[in-house]
Amino acid sequence: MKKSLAAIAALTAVSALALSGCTTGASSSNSGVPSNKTIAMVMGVAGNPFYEALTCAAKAEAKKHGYSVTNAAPTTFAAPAQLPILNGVVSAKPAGAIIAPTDPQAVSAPIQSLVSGGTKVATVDTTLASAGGLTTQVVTDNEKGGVLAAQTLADLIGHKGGKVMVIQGPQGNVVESARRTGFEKEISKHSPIKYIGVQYSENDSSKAAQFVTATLAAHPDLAGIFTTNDLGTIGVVTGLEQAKNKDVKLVAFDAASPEVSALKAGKIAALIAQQPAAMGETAVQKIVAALKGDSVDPTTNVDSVVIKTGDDAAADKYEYKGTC
Amino acid sequence: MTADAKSQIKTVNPENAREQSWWSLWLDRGWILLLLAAIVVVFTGLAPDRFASIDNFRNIAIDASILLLLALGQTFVIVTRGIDLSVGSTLVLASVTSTQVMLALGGDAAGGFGRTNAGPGVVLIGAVVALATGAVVGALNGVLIAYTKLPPLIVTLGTLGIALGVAQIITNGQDVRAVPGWLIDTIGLGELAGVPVLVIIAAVIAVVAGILLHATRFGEWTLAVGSNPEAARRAGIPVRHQLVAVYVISGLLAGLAGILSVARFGTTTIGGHGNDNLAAVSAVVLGGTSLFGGVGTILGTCVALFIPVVLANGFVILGIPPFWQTVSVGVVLIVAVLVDQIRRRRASQ
Repeated sequence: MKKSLAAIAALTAVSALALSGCTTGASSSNSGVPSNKTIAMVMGVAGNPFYEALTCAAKAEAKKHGYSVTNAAPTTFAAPAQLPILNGVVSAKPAGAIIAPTDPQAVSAPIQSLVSGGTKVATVDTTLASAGGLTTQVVTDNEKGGVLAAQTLADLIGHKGGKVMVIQGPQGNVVESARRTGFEKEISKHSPIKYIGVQYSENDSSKAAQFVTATLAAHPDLAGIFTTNDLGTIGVVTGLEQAKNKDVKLVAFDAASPEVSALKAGKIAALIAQQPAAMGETAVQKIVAALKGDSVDPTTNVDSVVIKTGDDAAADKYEYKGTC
Repeated sequence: MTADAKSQIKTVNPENAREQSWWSLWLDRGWILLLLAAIVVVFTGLAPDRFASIDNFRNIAIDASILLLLALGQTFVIVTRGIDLSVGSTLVLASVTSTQVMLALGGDAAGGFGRTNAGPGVVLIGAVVALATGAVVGALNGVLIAYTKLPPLIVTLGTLGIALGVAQIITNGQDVRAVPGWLIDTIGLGELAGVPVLVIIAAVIAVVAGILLHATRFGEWTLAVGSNPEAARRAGIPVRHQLVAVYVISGLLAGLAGILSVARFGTTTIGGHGNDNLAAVSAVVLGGTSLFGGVGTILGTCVALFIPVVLANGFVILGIPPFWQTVSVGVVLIVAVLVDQIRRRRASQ
């Protein structure tokens, strides 16, 4: 009886939110909010420099506001691995939750349970297909990041043109696929450049190195490579060194420490860096504001920035620092 | 023709040639060499100038070298009816402990970004730390498997998580900032007489592993333990010691692979070795080592390891869509195990 009442209440709440246009999370009443001072963080994958930097910044910000942070993450960036962790958070009933969904659809059920349990939920980096009930979304337009990468690479290669390729991490990773899509759309507008396709490194640096040397054997006139994450980038730098090639321009996503070192050493032409620290801080600020009952913007965009070789100051500023 | 084939097989594996007829040996191991040769011939035919170049073969050899070390250790383990799933994580942990020690021992960032100017002495200490790390994980695996009788699959699945977790705890998931430049230049990118140092190291270790498994009492005992543990025990072979030793070998080789990986990539690649264990197991099984123990050759492993590497290389050169790489390697693996099964059934008849 109690259960079914709760279910009806939850359903009513969800449908009310849906009817009101999905942006009213912040203005809904605070009566059901758990009274603890905890914010639970669930990132996309453990041990990833981007997420670690985001978590560190969020922890520091939460401390300022008197909140403690718990964090957990799956060992692989995949919905089946993240679901049980999210379900655990649902049972823990934190006051706030900061979540990087590994899939726009597949992990929405536990997140909706959190919302209906009164937890203020912010998504960071990635988000859900249906944002109903979320307190706020702190997003990066990854497709736009890919467009930026294509423009940067096209500038670097210049009028003479040439062949370019993409090295993505796992197949089906939503974030990286968006970056690749943006890159593919934009690069097709630069006519002297010929796009020869994508290879999937499955986050194996050795495979990425292998793809580079093999592609250079097939296309000695390769002019540029875009890598969609840091692990692939490390492999590509190695592959280019192994092939003793200094002509290929490498534009890489993220600003993990080894990437920043390689940029400074001139082995990477440009980095497309996200701003994990800013994202973590923003997410905490929005959740704290919502818990106080303030109204909160439903979406905050934190754009990626381009860092080119030689701009060491920017490289240091945007480096993903995850030690805290 | 028959005589030719016979002599060819004898060079493939002289030990067992005494007991088995030539055709069962061919079925056993020769076919994998034939398969590799066929793949190379096909790619050479389709892209003679691009595939069959010295530079490309050199790159293929480098690509295979680090994984080969893991597969060599795995061969010893699988011969004893075991499996070591922890090798990729052990590699990561060893690369983390060794780089941290090398960083702590000094060297400024004077050697360029991402590099320190620490010399060979520091690198040598780093290598010792990497090997010790591998040996510790290996010993943990071996002791648990030999003395608690827990299945190797479970034990090494557990240490897989533990080793990776400890590596992430030490580093907070951040790859190391700087490693000695000497390590990168001399080992990672270095060449001796035109042959990459990484390839030389892998080849030397492969020869040593081959001698150890096929020409020493240690190897004989390893095969005996895998063939029939109870009989081995009754024959006076210290089965438990043998098992511990075998997992320590696997750990040591993973530790060596760890420091070589640092040399090659110039950093720790913490998130990048999730598939190494299965790649190593596939190579061992493809190479004719039986998952049921007691049968296996180092040469088989060495040959088989090149199949996925050459396939990936050739497919990229020919522009075949990446998804087919995965499919083809899977097909080859299943066929290999099927051949192994057929062979065993014939042998038991």
